[in-house]
Amino acid sequence: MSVATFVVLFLNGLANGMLLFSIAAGLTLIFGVMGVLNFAHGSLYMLGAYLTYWIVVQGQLNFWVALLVAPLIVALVGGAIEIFCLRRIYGQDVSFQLLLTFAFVLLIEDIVRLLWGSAPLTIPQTQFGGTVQLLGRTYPAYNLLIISIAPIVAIGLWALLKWTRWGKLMRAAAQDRIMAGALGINVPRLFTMVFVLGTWLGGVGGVLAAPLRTISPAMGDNVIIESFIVAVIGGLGNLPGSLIGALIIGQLNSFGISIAQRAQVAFPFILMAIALLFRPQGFFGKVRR
Amino acid sequence: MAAEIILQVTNLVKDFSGIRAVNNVSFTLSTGTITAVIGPNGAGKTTLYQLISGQILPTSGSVKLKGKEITGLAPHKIVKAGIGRSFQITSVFPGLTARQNVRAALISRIGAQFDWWHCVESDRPLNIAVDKILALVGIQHLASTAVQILSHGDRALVEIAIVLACKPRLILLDEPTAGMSREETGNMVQLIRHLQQKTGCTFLITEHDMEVVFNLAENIIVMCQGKILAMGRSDEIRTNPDVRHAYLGTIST
Amino acid sequence: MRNRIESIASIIGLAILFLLPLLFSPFNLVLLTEILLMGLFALSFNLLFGYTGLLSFGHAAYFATGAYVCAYLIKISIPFILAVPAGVIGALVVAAVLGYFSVRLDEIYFAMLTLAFGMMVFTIVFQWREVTGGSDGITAVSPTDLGIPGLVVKIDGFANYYYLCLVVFLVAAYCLWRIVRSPFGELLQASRENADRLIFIGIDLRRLRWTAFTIAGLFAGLAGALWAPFQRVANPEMAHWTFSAVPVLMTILGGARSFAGPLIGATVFLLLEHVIQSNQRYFWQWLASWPIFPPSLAERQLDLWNFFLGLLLIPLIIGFRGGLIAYIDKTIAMFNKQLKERGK
Repeated sequence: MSVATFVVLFLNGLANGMLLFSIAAGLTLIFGVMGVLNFAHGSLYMLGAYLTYWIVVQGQLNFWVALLVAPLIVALVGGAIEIFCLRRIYGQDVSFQLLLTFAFVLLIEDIVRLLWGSAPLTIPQTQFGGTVQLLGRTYPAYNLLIISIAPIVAIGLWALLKWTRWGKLMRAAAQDRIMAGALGINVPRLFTMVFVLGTWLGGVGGVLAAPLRTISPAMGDNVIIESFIVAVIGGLGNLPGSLIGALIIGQLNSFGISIAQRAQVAFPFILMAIALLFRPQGFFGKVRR
Repeated sequence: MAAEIILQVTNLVKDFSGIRAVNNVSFTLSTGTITAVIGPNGAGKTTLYQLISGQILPTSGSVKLKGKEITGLAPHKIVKAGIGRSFQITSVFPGLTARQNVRAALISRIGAQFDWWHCVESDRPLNIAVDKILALVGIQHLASTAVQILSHGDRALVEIAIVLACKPRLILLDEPTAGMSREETGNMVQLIRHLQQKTGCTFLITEHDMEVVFNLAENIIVMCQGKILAMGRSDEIRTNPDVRHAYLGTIST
Repeated sequence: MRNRIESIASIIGLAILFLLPLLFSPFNLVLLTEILLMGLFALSFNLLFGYTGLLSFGHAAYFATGAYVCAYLIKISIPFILAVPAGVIGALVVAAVLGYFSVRLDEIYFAMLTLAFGMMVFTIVFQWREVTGGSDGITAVSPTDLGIPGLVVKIDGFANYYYLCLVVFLVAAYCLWRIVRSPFGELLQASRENADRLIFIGIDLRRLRWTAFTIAGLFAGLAGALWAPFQRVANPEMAHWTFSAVPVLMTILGGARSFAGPLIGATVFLLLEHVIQSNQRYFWQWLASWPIFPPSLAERQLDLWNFFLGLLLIPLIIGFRGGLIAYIDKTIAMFNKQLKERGK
């Protein structure tokens, strides 16, 4: 493998991993604080990608407008799901929360097909500088854009959790949900905030992915599984862990193809199974008693 | 006084990340007796129970049941060896009826857990045995009621019936009268004494209510900070000046 | 009295099931066969979900194993009568191996691990092209005969295959019905209610759950092994997690806490799907008559079955936990009460 090939593969993996992180971060945040495994996260990501298509291609607007507006719309949908449905079944069997979010998978996918049709769509990458020269190869500039945007999201999220009041409350609730309630935190409002923030992150992921991937109603079905994997190997609810997890999966996908051509696809699942069985707190989580 | 020894605990130690929750505890129980473990919160009573019933592994030391080593066995094997237990927070099968609760335990005892063909409802000998146990505890009238709608006192009785169905030789009760009214407490004391006479089981009981302790227990073990402070016959403990000073304080009996 | 009514009702029901092919068109027979096989799939799932309290999100893996093994064997000219049991055994083995690990976890972690294992099976059938045919799957699986030497039993044609599935379904459902009423089944329900207590009545919880998992996988494999020759294909979709969701949804729809719930769920699910899919053009025509509705949308005439299913499920999950069967029970109870009052 030449140096140039290696660098290209590495950058591809990095972009893939960064993208995955911004999606999985929302999933793991919601799980960490609320204990809800949100199956609809992949569908909200897909919705974000379609909204990007709507804004950029149909609306002829700038990509940055999409990055600003689309995640907000997705977050609104998420907030509605939490306030009108999910809130009613907290404290009941976790299976039913999971199933409720699955019902939204069905709903969102069909609504999107209703609005944009079933045929796959693509967004031309021309808006983002086309390609750059890299070690004698042409490389899509958009990948570099993702590699730089996703860390901003990560740092922003980290700062939010570290320094704002709501962020501190979220971390407290992720540590000990019952205690948080006992301390007089307005838990329902906190949950709404978390769900909105989590789905907003999913929407960001959708916007970032839109120019890169084929946009189709089923695009969420695969991403949700990948996000699960990232969240699990990073430790459910552990944000730094999911960053490392996302980067690992990104590189695994990128390099795996050239190492083990077909078995590669199964690696993430094997990694997830091992993580669940031997380290349910994730590979990068501390043991919490 | 050469009663047969049923439980022998020797030099039992349990460390939790630097804290010695149970510190070199040794004692024996004679068959057919009622012994109470008392001590303030955090004295190590619950940990001791978890060690005996196999929920956690001891750092060192051994537990023998009828001379047979049971240290380190899986909890379900310890149940099979003959130790049944109740929990401080009553642990039953809430969605099932009282009869189903006891029947599940009985199925386990007769080793029918992998019988997937015969109908439990129409198994007469099994159901007669279940009714007998329910009657022994005095809740036969609740047999068809879902346990989750029973009062706390009745649920505690169902739990004791479940424990009895496993036909243990030694029964560990963890605060059997916690959260009960005076009347329910009195009934529970009577029931335990009745069961001891009827089944010949050995009882180990933790209890906060000193009246219950002195009423029931022949022997008392006093624990404090993981260690055994004193043990002996009930009347000895009652008059032991150390214990009065360290634990009972101003309680007058 | 009640027993007698029940047995008369079930005899009449059975007679109807056997006479249906005389009344129905081939298309309806296809629908009925689908209901039988998906019903069996959902029943097997509910042994884990409703009775044992474990939500498996990878149950399609065992269905697909049954389907693929059976389809592969039929393709290499093994008689149907051997291929189906082989599919069942294949599913049993896969379920036993994956179940051994899965039952170490519970609640949401169990759901995720079964999901991961399910997708592992999906990846294998998708990638192992030489045997599984990759994304196309194994196609043209169309046995014509049971394949008992010296005995001609035709299974091609909708009616013949329906009868075959009906017989297998009845036997399998009867077995599952015995299992949930057996001592084993009672302990499964006890483990659902309180797993810690179960250990302290002397039960090896993992072994109990492992056994349940394996049995559930076995019956899912049976449904799959009959599904492949019925659809004439075994394809990767049958192993995908979205297919694992199907028995989950059917069970929620019908009610997880009763034996027949998943079966009723499967029936309603497939009938509704059929009704909605064959009538939604009227819905589109109606929508198009609204002036504000963009005609371009109505022209697409999309399949909105998932949309309606989602709309149906949300209130069921939030408010009506017993599923449809609880509703039926309530109605029967009310009816009985009225009868009694009239009797007075």
